[in-house]
Amino acid sequence: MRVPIDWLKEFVKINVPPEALAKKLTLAGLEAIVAEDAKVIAVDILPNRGDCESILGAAREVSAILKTRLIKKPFRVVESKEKIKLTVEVKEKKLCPRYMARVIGGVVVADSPEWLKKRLLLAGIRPVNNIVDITNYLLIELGQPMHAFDAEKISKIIVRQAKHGEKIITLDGLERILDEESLLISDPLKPIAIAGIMGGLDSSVMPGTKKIILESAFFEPASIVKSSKKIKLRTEASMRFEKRVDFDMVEEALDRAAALISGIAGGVVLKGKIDVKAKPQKNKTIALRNERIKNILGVNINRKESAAILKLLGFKIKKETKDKIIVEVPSWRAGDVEREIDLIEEIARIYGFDKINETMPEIKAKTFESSHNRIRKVREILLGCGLFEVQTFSMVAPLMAEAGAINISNPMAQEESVMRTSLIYSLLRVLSHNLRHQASKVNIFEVGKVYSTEKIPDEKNVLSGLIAGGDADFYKLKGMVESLLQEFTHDYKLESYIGKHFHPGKSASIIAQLKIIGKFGAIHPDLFKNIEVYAFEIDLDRLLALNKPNKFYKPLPKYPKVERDLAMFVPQGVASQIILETIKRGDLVESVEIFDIYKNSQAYRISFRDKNKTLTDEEVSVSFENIQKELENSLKVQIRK
Amino acid sequence: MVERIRAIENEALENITNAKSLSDIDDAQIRYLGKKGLLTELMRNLKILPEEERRNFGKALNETKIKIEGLIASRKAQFSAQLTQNKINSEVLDITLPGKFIKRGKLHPITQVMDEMIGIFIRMGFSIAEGPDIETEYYNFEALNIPKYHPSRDMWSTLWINNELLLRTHTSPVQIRVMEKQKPPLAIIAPGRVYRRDSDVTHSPVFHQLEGLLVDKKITFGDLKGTLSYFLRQVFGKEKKVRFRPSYFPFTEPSAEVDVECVLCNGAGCRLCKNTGWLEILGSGMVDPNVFKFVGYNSEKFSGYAFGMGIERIAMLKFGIDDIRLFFENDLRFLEQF
Ligand SMILES: [Zn+2]
Repeated sequence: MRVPIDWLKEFVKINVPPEALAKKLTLAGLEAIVAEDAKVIAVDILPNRGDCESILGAAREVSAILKTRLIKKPFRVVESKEKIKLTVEVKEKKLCPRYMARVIGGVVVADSPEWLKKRLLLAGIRPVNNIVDITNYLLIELGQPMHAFDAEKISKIIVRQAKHGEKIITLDGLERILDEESLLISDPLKPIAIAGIMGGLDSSVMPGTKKIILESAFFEPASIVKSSKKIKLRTEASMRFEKRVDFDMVEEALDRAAALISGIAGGVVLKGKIDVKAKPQKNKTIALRNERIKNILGVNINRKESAAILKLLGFKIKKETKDKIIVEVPSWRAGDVEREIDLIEEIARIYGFDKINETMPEIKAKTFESSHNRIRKVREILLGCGLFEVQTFSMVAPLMAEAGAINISNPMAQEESVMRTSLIYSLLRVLSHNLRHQASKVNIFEVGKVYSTEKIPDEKNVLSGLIAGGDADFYKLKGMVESLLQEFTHDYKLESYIGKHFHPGKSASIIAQLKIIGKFGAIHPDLFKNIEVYAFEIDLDRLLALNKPNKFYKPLPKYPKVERDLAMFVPQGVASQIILETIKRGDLVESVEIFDIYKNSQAYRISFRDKNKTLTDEEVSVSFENIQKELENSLKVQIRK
Repeated sequence: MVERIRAIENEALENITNAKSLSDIDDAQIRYLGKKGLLTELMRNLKILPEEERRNFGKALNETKIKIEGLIASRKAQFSAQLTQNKINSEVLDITLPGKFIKRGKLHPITQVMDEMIGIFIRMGFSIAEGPDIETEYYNFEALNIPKYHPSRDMWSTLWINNELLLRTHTSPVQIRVMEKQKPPLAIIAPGRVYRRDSDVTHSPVFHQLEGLLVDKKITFGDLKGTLSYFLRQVFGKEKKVRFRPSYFPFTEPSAEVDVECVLCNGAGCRLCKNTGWLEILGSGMVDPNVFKFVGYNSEKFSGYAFGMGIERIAMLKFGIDDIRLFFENDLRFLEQF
């Protein structure tokens, strides 16, 4: 809210410069900055502090913070002899516990005087005409929204629920279609205003209007929230009703408006006023224990000091005993001060948060493990493989998710309207972005959630990555995936994978503990055309659940190994895994690895070792020859001699 | 005889001193000390001399031999040092040529900042708790003391799935989920993704938060101040001032916004801090008794504090990033910088 300083000074004595005032307000919970050549203080009012949404409200805070006096503004309503004749029927007493009105005749609708226009402009309100401006002026000054109707157009005022489909053209010229959620001000024939939000165009004050009905009411906050949400219209008025206006200010504001109108627009205030009120509201009283202040804030603020702070804020001290005080809440704080803790907060913020000493709590809670450390390890391994971590949105375009994915009912954009079911599309988007920006090689991964299509909410942690460009190929990817897997288990199997997203001849699924825990391979050319992309997606929850067996030390070998190389032509369809397994079954074989591949020629290096003695050449040759025979006979490979 | 020794000695010393290379020295060694060397020859002649002469002559011969050996050793050392030096001189590299990198990837800056923060709280004794991204209205709002038709709901622009389900707007629902399951004392942090219906250079529909909750007997606002000041000084530097400012959150009371001295101007006032000298970093407060009521904790017996902060905002301040969208664009030229 924009608070013109001169205006504020009419309500409270200010003994510090604007900058200092802004700082003090900020430290008391009203974030403030000085604006417009120090003519205005712009204050961010917290959502629970509707009572501050006015010059008077700001003045109350300033008075408590600076410990200076509030100033009362005197006024007098001069009434004519003619009596008010207006019937008001409130059908919804719960939603409108107080409805007041006055009637003013003989007004001349014209431009407002300059001083009034200037103030409104400083406060950020556009002047319209003197009647509307005066209601706006008091809205800003006292925080009570009021509305003026053209009295000639209204025979009776009824406050009621709107009917489904009922229509009204509001002041802004738009037709609004209403339903039961909205409260209406109506005459016997048709709606004349949407209660607390905006008046109707038909009954509005125009140049030429002579007689007006001035409305000042209290509408139940929740009802205004509902109504305003439903018709998607929020105004200065509705915003204040939502945050609850001061029940006791309804009357004062009405009288102030009547006095100002007759002074400025030359009207005659008819005798008497309408006040349809549900049972009078009593101010709440709350007990505040000294002990409790200390237990919550950690600082000793004595009873006298707390009482003094509360009094400055307009609370009344009803009773004081040794260990507590009984406090009465002023009408304007009925919305946000209801409990002892609310009073403690008031005391803390005026006492000053900066005066509360910092202490370090002793943390006695038992600690527990989470997957965080294990996920960190996964990330580290992939960084070591040269992959960069990315973070992409959890929402994607419908085309990028499986059928039946969870939809967002109010998305910001179509491409963020569905919860993702895989990370691969998101990574491909990152790839495209980087290729567009001249990257020649893209190596990335993401750890993130995917969202089930079957059950809500069912969320899985997934690990996905891709490599493209440079020396990216299937085996490089496979190496990365396996070096990751082997940190968790050696007990897994790879099988050919035919399924979504992947090239059917260049993909594998990872099977561990009888479940598919992931897949990897070339991305299907249908999905990404310009460049070969190799990707993996692993169910992270399942991966982390794999328990790596305990590590047991094996004594280091005492005797040397003997190496022999074996080159062969491998017929189509013989998997190298079979060859490796065959070789491993050979006598004295300790290990075997492939060290060269060219077309269908493969070269294997075999290590032989006896753990009890140094091997002789003859012993190795016997086994080596047996292996060759076995390969030739059972696998039909052709050994290159 | 002695003259003969002197002559050999002089010649040898001169030869060795003037040697041009290691092989000259080797030649000299053979010429004088070798099996058929001049001194060796004389040595052999010793036996035939009479006793008296043999002693004098032997002594002189020995002295000469030691002299020559000594000179040979020192000249050899000189040449070998020279050789090493020559080798070194011929092997000077251009150390400004690029190294052969084993190219490692890098963690996303958000993860880096998140991990740093998690580490600080873990060392204090907090444990990590988690909750779903897709939340119920109850956990995201209701149980956090944010009633349905209350203006405070406007503090969070929400992405909805349907009437009951939504994308959590903060990590605070994790507080409720944990308290429903566990009794105090409790010390948890909840890092995770959150969602808002907002998008501009400082707001992203997807971003990350870190939530914290401590509940025990006699936890005070002073404890909240102590914990968060310590934390923020760890993150932003020991010399930074920290400020607590009254605020409002439905689930805490009293509530405090926590500011850190501006990272750019150190409090003098600049564009980044809108001339206030302070940067708003996190929201916090004492757990509202209504929240305890929802989870069945006795607020007369227990008290606690809670806090929450946006990771992107802190990362932006730490790294001087001015557009939040860069985090989710994942341009490698951006990611490589962290
Ligand atoms: Zn600054």
